[in-house]
Amino acid sequence: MIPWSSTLDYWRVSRSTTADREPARNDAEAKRRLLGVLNRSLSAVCNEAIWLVSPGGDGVFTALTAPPIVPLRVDEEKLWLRSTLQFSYVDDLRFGGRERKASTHFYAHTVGETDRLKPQLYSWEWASSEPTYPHLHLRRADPAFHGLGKLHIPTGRVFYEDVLRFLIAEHGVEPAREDWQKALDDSFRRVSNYASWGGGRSS
Amino acid sequence: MSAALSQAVDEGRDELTPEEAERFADEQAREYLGMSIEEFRSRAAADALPEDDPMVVHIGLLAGVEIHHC
Repeated sequence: MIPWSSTLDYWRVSRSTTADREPARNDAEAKRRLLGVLNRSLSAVCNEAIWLVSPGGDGVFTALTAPPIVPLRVDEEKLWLRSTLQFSYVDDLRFGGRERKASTHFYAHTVGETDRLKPQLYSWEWASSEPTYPHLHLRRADPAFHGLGKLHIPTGRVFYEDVLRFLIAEHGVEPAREDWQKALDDSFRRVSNYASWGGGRSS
Repeated sequence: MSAALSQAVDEGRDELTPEEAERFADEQAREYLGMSIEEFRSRAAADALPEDDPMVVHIGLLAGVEIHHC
């Protein structure tokens, strides 16, 4: 369990700063920045996976990991995580449209007990389907929980870094680097800088 | 790992080509849902995808398919 003071430090450091602004003059730079942040976060829990972009047509892209389902070590066992982000490149209006950014449309972060994600423990989702608000599915398709997984439990925006921190803190996922906390703090701070909503948490 | 993903990773690329992306989406739909990506798209349009499979939303996002319920 992470000490409460560390949690407070996490939120404190997560406030937007200009210290690590990384301007993107074009889509390629916006992509590099996005993947840099995601890969830093991923390295907190796994050294054998990487984030990639997949073009989806009509200016829509998907960020996904290779392998698509990432093993996370928990003592002698494993949890498995699949994360998918759908985004497009847009003008970053905060800078008069002179810069670009990857704007996330939707996401899904699913945690399961096997490499096929079944049984599914958690799935944080925000997609074009109903309901359109970000939500959590708990124990989807798990007969032991009598339909609990069909519920769309409302959440705020859940970031990849939130999921990784939760899994380390609450499920005992073993970090893959000593400075995992700093890696997640740095990534979350950068994500907060560019998020158009849901990233403005402060202590 | 998927052949499409492996090739991109082996070549040090950070993005799939459109052909690799389509192949990967098809591989995923077949492996996890037992259907082609074309069938996935058709079922999505007909609101006939499995409601309780966590892979549906991931493959939907990957293929840019609007899913009515998940």
